Amino acid sequence: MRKKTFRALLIAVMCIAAAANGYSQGSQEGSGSDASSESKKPVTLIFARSNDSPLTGIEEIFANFEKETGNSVEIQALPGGNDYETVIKTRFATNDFPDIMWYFPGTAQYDSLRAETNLVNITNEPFISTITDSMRRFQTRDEQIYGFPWGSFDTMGVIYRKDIFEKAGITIPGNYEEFLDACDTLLSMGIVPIVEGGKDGWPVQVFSLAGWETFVDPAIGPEGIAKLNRNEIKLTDIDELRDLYQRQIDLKKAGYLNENWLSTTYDMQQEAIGNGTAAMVIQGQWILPALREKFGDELISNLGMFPIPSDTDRGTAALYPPGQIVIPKNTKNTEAAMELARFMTRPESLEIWYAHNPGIPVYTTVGSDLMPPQQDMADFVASYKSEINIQGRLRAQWPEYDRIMQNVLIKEDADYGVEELSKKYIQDGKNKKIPGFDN
Amino acid sequence: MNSRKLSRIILETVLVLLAGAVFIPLLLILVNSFKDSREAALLNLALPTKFHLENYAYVIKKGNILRGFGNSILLSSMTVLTISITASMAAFLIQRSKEKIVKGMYYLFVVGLIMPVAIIPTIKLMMGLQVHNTYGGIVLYYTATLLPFSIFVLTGFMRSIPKELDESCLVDGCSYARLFFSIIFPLLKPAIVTVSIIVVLVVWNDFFGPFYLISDSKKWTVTLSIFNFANKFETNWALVFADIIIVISPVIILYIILQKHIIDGMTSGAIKG
Amino acid sequence: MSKGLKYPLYFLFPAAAIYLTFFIAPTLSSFYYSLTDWHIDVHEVTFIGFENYIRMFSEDVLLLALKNTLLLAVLVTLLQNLFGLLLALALNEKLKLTPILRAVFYMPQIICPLVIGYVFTALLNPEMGLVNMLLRAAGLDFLALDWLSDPDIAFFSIIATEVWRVTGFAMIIYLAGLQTIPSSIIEYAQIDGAGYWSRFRHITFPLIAPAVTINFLLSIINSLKVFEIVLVLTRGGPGYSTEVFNTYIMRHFGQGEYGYSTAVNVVLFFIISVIGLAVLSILRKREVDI
Repeated sequence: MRKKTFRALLIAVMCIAAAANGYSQGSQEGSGSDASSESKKPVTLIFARSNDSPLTGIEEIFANFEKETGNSVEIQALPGGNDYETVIKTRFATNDFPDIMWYFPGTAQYDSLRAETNLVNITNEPFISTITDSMRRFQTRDEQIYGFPWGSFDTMGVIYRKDIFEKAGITIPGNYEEFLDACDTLLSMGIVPIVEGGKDGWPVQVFSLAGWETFVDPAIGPEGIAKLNRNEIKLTDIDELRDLYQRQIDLKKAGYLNENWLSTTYDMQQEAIGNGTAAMVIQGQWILPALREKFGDELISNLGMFPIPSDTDRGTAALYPPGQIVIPKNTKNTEAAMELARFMTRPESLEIWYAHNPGIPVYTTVGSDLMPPQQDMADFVASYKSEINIQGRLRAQWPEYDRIMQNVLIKEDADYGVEELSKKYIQDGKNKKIPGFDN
Repeated sequence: MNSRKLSRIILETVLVLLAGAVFIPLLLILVNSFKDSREAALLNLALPTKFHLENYAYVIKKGNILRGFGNSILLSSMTVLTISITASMAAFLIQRSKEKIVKGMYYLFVVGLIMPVAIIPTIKLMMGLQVHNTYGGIVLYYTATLLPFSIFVLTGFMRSIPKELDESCLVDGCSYARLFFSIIFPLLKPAIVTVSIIVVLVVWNDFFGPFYLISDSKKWTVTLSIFNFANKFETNWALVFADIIIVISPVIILYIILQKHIIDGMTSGAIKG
Repeated sequence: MSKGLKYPLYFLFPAAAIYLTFFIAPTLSSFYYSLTDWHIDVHEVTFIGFENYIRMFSEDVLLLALKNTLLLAVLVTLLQNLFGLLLALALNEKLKLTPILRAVFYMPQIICPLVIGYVFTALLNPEMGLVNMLLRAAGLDFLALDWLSDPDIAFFSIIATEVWRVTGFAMIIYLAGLQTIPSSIIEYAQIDGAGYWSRFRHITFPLIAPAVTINFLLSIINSLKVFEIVLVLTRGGPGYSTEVFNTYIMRHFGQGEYGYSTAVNVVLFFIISVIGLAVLSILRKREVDI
């Protein structure tokens, strides 16, 4: 009897050891056998994306891919924003790669992902030649390309309801003064002029990100940006930035924002515009597909868009480049992932994407019907001034900018905002050991 | 005497009302998990006008619940196995031996009852040992963090096993290994059951560990899948609630069946300190 | 005979090996990492002395997190013990419903904090949440506040949620303590004509002093480690108004500041150790005094 117990225990211990061993090896062994029988057995590709990256349409493309090749794609939704960057970088550091993934825009990302060692070089893929010239230049560094663009240039600015503007007798403001007048008129009619989404935090940053190009860029010029990148001037030195924050605070003080702005989510921002309780929202064009899904084309054709106006003119459009898709080099499914990449960039796949996510395509093989607000901004950009979003032009980042801006509005303190942002920016440059930031 | 009776009735009423305050939130998720998204958005306690069982089907499909269950069951059972063996062996020696090194180690374990985990260096260590993102790695992490509690409870229980038992067995010529595995270990069973239940609950409910240590979503536990699911569908309360109900129901059922064990287990771990 | 027994050390090996490797070693190495500039984007880690610690003093948010964490620990500990003790005293009256009520009050303890966070997000929703609906139905509209988004209130909503979650635990410990008191002692006191309060003050309370000690210690330590509830309810916001240590550490870890966030974790470690030991020694002393 006793012997039996002892033996049972021993077996149990051995099982744990075997199991632990099996599990740690399992994945590697699996990869070995899969690699040898490559395309014979259908594989399941892991497509990693951040929760907040665009998804509509992509599932349909993946379903078609599965129909054609037998290979299925599992979408792995990871936490969005900064968290996504961390998760991906951590996984890269441990050689734990997804098969294919969405990532933030720009060639600066080639550094952080260590593209030469980790990513498939797609410079010579045939589909690269179908990317528009300007976009291809945007993806190229040292004549090499490691990621293909996915989506379109979004602009940030003021999205408004045409019917409400018409009823109030408001036209697109020609300068900031007129913008404030418009808010005033709307307020007196009992309509919320601007719906702000303070609960989620990030919507609060859009005003200053879209306003930077209008107010700060003309003041400091390209030279100012270069100096910021070398840490030769401080963000606290830029009075126009402080003024910009003050403008946002003044919007709140004047009652132009919804009273419950602090408990309003991004989702509720959409509701307010969709239901017409608010006339304007300061957002990026990424809000449009969600609005269309909820309220249909009827609402979309009722919307228009304009940049944040300056004191003297209609302002500058802030452009937000599309993200990119990259393929890690050393996974067991690299070949199948490349197959998926080629499939995704076929005209018929791109058509599905742009049908769900209208925008100016970054591929020449496909057209797209722009939604009215996008058309507004496209016309504006074509005939007027535009500039890439400031965060895309700086090497060091602005960590926790959403929190800072939330606090700026809560405390109604522009100085706090500039100082806190400057501190975070310098700390980030220092952390990344960018020259000029080290002391 | 009558006033005493009255005060008892008042007391019972108050307590039942308070119990309601505990129950209502749980009732709220249950009721709303069957509604459609618009009805659930009202977040009230009214019964659903129509029972939408498809919420559950959708959640099971989209939330990767089954995979999460598999992972949670695997991780908790493997942790239970490693803990019950290593902790009971250690408790046996700690309670019996008088050697300084053993006592010293015991204090080190006790300190672990209080200390917070140094999570970032743990990740680094796991990467170095190539067990990051493996089931084995996270089992070792849970074993390490739950050993203090388990050894604590088991050492307390060891005191009730008479030392004479050891002596008579050893006199009969059996080895220490035999003594432990065939005599002591079976006698520790009640305490091991207690410890195991707590270990299962902790591993099942833990968010902190897997949040930092498992980046591969195929290995996510149910708790992590709730977090991910809720982030994705935060505006659809009906789905989030259905997800929550599925994930917590095994724990609730376990609690209803083993209520006495669980409560006693939690108490014994605490009281003996 | 028993003195001659020499228990072999190998019984300790498996547990010690796992514990030392996966718990003690990371803890010790965190002291070293906290003195480096370890960052996700930097391939070479350099020793920078106490720079991370010096930086903490200029981080207003960390100081706020420190203040919040301590305030939360104190308030949760006091309320949890007050309510837990009251419930335990009530349930100790041998009511018919005692076993069921005991199980119900303990239940929040077995549900994962993350889920409780989501449930309370729903309950505390300013427009639809049950809490505000009940308040409005009772005509207390002015009390129907924005529980989680108002920077002045959100922190107290977190404390209330946490108290709801942990009170059952304190109750169980007190109940176990109360049940060790022989009923004969209470009966004697009753015959002597001692009132309820006086019986409690002079007999019951001193006898459950060990339960008080353990409850206070555990509450304080666990509240200092609070994480999931804050993460789900407010993410430390709005602004930074509900930031606590663990959300602060998580955020800086998320930004890849491994060296710095490890340093903050070391500070949390010391605070927990010092407060834990202090509470223990104070309460132990009182146990003797009473």
